[in-house]
Amino acid sequence: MRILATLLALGVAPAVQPAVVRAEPFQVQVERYLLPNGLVVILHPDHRLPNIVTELSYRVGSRDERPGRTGFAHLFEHLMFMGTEAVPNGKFDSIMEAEGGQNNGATSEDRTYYFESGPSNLLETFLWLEADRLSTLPDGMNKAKLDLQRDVVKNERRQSYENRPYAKMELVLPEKLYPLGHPYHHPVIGSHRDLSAARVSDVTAFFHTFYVPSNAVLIVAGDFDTARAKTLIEHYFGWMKQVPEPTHVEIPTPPPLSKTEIVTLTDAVELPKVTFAFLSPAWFAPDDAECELLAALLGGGKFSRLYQRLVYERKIAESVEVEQRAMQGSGIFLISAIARKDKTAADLETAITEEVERLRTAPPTDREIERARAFLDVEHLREIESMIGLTEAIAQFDFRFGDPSRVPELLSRYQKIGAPAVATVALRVLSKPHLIFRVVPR
Amino acid sequence: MKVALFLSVLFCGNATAMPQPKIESQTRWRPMAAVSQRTANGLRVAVLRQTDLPIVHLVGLVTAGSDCDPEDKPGLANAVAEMLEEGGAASYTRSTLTEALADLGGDLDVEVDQNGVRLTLSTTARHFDRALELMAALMTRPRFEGEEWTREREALISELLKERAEPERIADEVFDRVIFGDGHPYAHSPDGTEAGLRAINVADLRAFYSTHYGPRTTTLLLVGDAPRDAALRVERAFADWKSNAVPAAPPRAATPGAARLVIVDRPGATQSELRIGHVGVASSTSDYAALQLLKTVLGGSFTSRLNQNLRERHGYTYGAHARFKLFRAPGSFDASAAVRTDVTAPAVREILSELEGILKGPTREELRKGRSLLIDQLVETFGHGLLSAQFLGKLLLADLPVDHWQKALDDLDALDVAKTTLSAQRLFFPDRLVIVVVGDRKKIEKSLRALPMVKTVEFRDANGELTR
Repeated sequence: MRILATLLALGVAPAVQPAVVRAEPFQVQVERYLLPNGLVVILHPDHRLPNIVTELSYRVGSRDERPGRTGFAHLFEHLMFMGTEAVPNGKFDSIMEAEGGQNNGATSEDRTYYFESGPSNLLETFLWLEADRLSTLPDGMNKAKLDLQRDVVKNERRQSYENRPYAKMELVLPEKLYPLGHPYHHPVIGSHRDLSAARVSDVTAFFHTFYVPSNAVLIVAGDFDTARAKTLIEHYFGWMKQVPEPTHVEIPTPPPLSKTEIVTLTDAVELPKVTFAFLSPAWFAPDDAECELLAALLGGGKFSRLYQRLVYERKIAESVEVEQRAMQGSGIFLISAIARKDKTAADLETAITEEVERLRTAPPTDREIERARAFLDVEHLREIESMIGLTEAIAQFDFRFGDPSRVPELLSRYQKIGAPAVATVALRVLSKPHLIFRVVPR
Repeated sequence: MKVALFLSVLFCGNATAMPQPKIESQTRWRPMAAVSQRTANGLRVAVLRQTDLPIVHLVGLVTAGSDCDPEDKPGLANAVAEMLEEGGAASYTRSTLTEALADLGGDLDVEVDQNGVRLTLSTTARHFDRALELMAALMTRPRFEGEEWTREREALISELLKERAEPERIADEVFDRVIFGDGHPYAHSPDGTEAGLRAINVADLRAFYSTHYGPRTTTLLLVGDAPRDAALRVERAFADWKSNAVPAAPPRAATPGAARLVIVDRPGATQSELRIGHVGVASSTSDYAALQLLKTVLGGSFTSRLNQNLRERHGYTYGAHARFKLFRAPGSFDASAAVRTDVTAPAVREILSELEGILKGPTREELRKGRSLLIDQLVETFGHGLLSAQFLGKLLLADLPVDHWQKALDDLDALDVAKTTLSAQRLFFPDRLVIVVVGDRKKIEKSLRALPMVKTVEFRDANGELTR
């Protein structure tokens, strides 16, 4: 619960008619409007099942943290569940669970979101609970609540990064890739020291800056009556005063690395792992879709280039993984492999370097791109199969474009991209200085 | 400056707390039923159509799980399932088969547990026929190429080594081994052991396949945007499949062992991974609804007793959970959490006290909450193609009927505090608890030994072997 997630790119390229119209059209019906106080409201009715999802998405993430307070946006997310005067600590969960509702929250570099999911008779309850904490949270905040969630978050850090095989790299990666002072320089989970340093006054100040209607989007999806939902939303959120939207930090384009650097980490593992990390395009920035296709072509499934070469032919890898991890202001292209028994990090590095080189001599073919598209189609459809997944996609499209009806572009944006474009982007992104992480057994 | 800003913002929040809204009653929902039928050769086909998104999941279910592994070849069932794709099938080599699957958008997802095999192929609706053809090829005509097995065996062994670094897996596997006891089919992980995999040759794969794979041990489950006549198309695709294979009988029930503490040393670990439980009940239990309810109350939601105690009251963990594994023969019950190293013993004590407490049954509020949560989870499951495919697949492999949840919902309605409390006394045995702790031994052993309920202590390695 209260998960920490790096939100991956859900992307769209500029709206150009696809060159080939394919057979899987689907639509996402949404109504979007603005309350006078600046709150964006998005309604997505779907009456197939008697349940609803509500989500409040705030434009704040780890990028907005002050020096010495890394991890604070996520710690704050935990505190949003610690009660108010009307809904004392513990009641937020117990009120909704008593009727079958559940909730969670997640924090990324750019955004923090909270969602509830449950039977449709809880619509008003969910709206009331979200409105209550958005308007009154600091009134009941105290050091005891902060201390308890500080402990929980530190446990989350231990469970998800420190005590999990190969995961420590995630703590070092942003610090190595983005320069000191860059909003993405530190990991979302933060450091133990900074978590220890957080004070109640930080909580209050953060709340009043970022947790205001003009910095939020409310999404309601599922089995509800639109007119009634609008009345309820007006009742619970409409009275809130307009507070100017906070200024968001600019995300500067990170400078290229001056040289390729090797970082060696030891871990309680038996098999070495190697990860190549390159700076890459941001969410739906030019070249992002090409990078997604490139990732699928290199590492999406057993017929991908790296899996074929490293796992089947050379038999040096246990597994490979390639990911275009796109954030709002920048992206990270990751190629990683875990060694087979008795193989070394050096074996993997050599082979990965050769495969990256081979993109030059044997550029992607149309057939490979067609397969990469098929892979991404299934991936994205799986993401939005659940109501919660679809709601999150709506939130991301609104965050990026202010237009949630563009969700189907998750799939359609790949249709017009051909093999030459992917080849060009591959050379552009993968020929730059990068990081090589070696995780080796202790 | 900071203080001034702080004061000024305090004034603009001035909110009037709104009263809690009334919650109206919810209309009763019945899960949609999957349509199930048998073809002429005995294959079961179950279909749950949902056509909002153009994605379809084809799931092959075979009662050929790790409970069928020979004692000296743990991992055989999993190896056979993996080799359906990895060893080529019909006219396809391994390479042309993975290529054909890649054209559909991905790989075959292979999952093997104690009840059986789940093979999932997710693809876009326009590829349905091709996906069905490939599924039929690899399920009915696998080639089990020798060279491919030599390669795949090494890959599976490397996977074992990778997983041996994961504290959650170590804890799960050591727990199973201890509670079921060496020699019981549920005592080993479906992934097997290095020695077990080395002992398997191609003849073993073929023999296992012909004993356990056939139309009468198989269900093809289709969920999502499948054609209206999908069942007919399945019948045609699998029509030539002939086999004498029949479902194996469930294993004997494991003999409950003595309570004890088991420590697996993981020097330097910042958390201890805990599993506390015992042998449970079979999937056919008449306490099914009560079991789901008690699991929810004890450790199946955020406000569950375990999570409230260990996470929200004490800050020991990021989350605490309870779980029943339901197999055809009695499975397991366990409470679990990853806790900070320095609070390992107090965390164990808190879990033990919650397990004592659950014997007294749920409160009326908990009963109501558990029921609402279970119904909502079911609604959400049925709203999600892949989740409903996994959910139905697991039910069917556990030998439960395709409409099992319709009856379970009625049973859930009929539960009251007294009945659920009686069930609790049939499901939880605090005097038989096995406590598995994967953590830094030199930091946790002394305080764990000092717990009053700890009588016997043993040490095991990450493979579950006894050590000093």
